[in-house]
Amino acid sequence: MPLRNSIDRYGAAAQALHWLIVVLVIVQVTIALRAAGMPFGPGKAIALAWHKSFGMTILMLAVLRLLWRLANPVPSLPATMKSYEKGLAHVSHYLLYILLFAMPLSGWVMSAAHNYPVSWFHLFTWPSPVAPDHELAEKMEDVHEALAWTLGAVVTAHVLAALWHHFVRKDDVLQRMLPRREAS
Amino acid sequence: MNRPLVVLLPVLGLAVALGAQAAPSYRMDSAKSSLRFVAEQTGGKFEGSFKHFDALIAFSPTDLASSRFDVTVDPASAETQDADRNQTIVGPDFFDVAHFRTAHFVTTTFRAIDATHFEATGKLTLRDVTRDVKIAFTFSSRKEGAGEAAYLAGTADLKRLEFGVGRGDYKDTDTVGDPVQVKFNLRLTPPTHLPDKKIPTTPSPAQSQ
Repeated sequence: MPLRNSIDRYGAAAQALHWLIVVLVIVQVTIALRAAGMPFGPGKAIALAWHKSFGMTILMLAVLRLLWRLANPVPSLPATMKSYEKGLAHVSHYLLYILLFAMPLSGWVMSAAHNYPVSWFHLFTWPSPVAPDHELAEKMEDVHEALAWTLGAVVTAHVLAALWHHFVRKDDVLQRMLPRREAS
Repeated sequence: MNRPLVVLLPVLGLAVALGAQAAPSYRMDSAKSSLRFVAEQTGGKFEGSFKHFDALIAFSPTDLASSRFDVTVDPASAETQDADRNQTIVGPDFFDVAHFRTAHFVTTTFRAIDATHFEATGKLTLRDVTRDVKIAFTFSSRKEGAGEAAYLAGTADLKRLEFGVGRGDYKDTDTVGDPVQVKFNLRLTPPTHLPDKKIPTTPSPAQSQ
């Protein structure tokens, strides 16, 4: 599989970034839901430290992914799609990109406002984008949570759309984001 | 038994008898003084401060023998900008302020590095543990308006676990790092230039060890 995108398929780099981020987002949701039910204490602190490390990893991958996308035209959507369907697809993809940035950024600001450091796997500490501020911290908690639900909704639509393409439309929209099987 | 002090006593007595000048005393200007700490939480550093503390400072760069810092800190005034963490820090696992009302530091010896940089060793009592702690600081004084002000700024590197700060699961240094840096920045004025203020004089529990 070539590294770069082709006219009709995503290349290895785009696929690797897509699926790596999928896995990390699933890990993030799992940790977040578990940590939400934990009392303030060392266990929660450790869970959230992982959450922050993975979150900042997603942010870095999102930067890479955006740059890669800007330098690499994506395969065009099937000509059989109606223009409003293409419009919906584009809007949902834009939203996913925005959320991939907004989720970690809001979490980062939330931590800084709480005066909680954001370490990356104990290797280094990210600088604080804002000064400690209790009100801002509370606000960012709401924002982070609202963004998470929004991401959940858009991802659900994204997955359903991919399945609809594959099973109803029977086009190659899902397959071009999957490693090619034996000469298809 | 505190040996250096015993050795010093006759010297001090002689100095007083001869009317020699001891190191001048200062009062801390609370509004313009800060006592902060940098601690590590899950691998990252954060800064906090103590809102209530007082320092009795007698210091002369040329008379280190009669210089003395006596610092009292209210650990319940720890502020880390987060309500949950503040509560945890004053609670039984950390400072346990219900049982240990004050933290106390008193110097035992001073050493000059150069004209403005010094090092002091003293006894720090946190919770029920007293240990020797070294501080590095700068001292400078200057005219300010009609009076005079001195500035004392420096750091001390502590290990929290040596003082039993952080018990149970909080002993884990991946969660809360062992090293804690204390940073102080004091503005001092000669006593006469401040309105009368009651200076608490706590007996040093360090002597009983």
